[in-house]
Amino acid sequence: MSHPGGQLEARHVSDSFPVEDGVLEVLNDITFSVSQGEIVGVIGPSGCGKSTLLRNLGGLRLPKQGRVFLDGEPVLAPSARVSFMFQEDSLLPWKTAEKNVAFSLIAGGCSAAEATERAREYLDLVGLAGFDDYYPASLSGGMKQRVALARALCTEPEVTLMDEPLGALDAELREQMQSEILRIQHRLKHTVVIVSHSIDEVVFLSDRVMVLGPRPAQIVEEIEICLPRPRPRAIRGSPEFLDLEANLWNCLATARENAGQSAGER
Amino acid sequence: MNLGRFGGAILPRINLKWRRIAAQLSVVVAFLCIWQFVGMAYFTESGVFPTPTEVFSALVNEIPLDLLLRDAFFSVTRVVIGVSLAAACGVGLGALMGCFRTIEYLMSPMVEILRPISPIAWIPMAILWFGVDEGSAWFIIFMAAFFPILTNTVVGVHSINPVHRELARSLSLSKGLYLLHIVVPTTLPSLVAGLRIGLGIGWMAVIAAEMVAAQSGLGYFIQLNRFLLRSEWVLAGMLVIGVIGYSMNYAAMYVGRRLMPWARVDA
Repeated sequence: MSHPGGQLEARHVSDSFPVEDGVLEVLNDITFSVSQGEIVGVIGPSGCGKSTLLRNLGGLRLPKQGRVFLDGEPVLAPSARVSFMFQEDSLLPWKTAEKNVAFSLIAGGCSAAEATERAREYLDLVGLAGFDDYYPASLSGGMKQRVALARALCTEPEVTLMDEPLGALDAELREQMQSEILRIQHRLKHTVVIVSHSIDEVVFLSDRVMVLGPRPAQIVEEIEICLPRPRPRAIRGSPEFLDLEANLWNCLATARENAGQSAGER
Repeated sequence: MNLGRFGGAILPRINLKWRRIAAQLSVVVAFLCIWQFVGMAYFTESGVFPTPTEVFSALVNEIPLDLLLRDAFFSVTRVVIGVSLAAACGVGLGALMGCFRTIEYLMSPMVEILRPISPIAWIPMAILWFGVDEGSAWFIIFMAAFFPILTNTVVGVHSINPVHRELARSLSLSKGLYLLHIVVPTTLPSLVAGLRIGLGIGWMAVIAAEMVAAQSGLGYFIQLNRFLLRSEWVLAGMLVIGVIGYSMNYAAMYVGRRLMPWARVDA
């Protein structure tokens, strides 16, 4: 499975929401690019607009200013080339695991037979072979996110945007799923942007991490994660990993302090 | 058949099911015993407080079965027609109100004024408009079943999960697929609940309607036998009403379960 494209670029993206007494500025002039096949982590204080940025990147929401480009083409609406994995449980409770996965294929115009076959293939890929006929209600939280992952991948998108996909899982399952995401990405070579509030998670997964400041968010730091791939779980204990974690932690803390000061000045 | 992980647990399950049924039956039997006792001990005057044995005896030996079945058939048919009309209108209007804010905004005061009016209160006007005929019964059942079906449909459409809406957008889902795969299944549980409530209230309404505005049906049967001072017959008719109502609810729940294998349908 080759991905011809998947180069994502945000140019001067600013976004805001109308609120009762005016406008809530959320993103402020964000510019960065993600190369094809790269995994980029986005981290920042909660409520800083990470999810909004992700929705801008995928065309679910047009930024107020600036523009997102996918392989040089402006992103104006959601497209089949980009898939989402949401934080909450987004599976359709009335569809079995297989039907949930197949649904995104059918939405893209796939025949039912082909969709079923591909859905099974991807359920197998995420380690859920044999669970095709289970309804979400009888799957555990981790299994549900595996189904969601299969659904996000089965259309063979060039870019997958993940919004804290493992936020609801416990530590053990999280680590397991992180390795799973890496294993699969290593095979499919698609571009991934993953939003998270877990430092450990973005360091483990990413090639590069963008640190966002408090609202209205700007990119305050961009850190290369020069850890070799594939990454075994044990890499978390390595000095390099811990250094990167400490570094990111400092960045976030500084960003938060600065925000506190500027708020104090006002 | 896939016995799967629960294969080993099937036998105790069956036992549990029968134990439950036995427990439920014993409550019914206890109730009948008390009723029998009270009737025999305190109401010696015949016909004032018929005992279960008298009612059963009337049901088995006195009341012509074809008469009872005919009346039951009339009542059930009326309910099916009235509730179907109510479902068509209630689901239609409910879907519109659920999907379009403006329609909900415009319609809701109207609905909220008509909703608390008891279907019984419509009987005089129904007779005036439709006479002592099928039309009256249908109209009264319609008025009874329409509102619960309507409000449940609106609630159902409103309960669409925002993340499912987002998912639909991210998949660039067509309107048709969105309706079929997201809106309909989301609405289905409360829609089925609405239909069940509508059917239940419709069944109550048909009896009331038939007592005044019809020449047949179980309501008419009860009213007639009241005049004929056959209180065992009246109670037998009521018993039949209860059993049919129970069966209809059970059938609706069964259909609900078949329609929604993913959801729990509670009594």
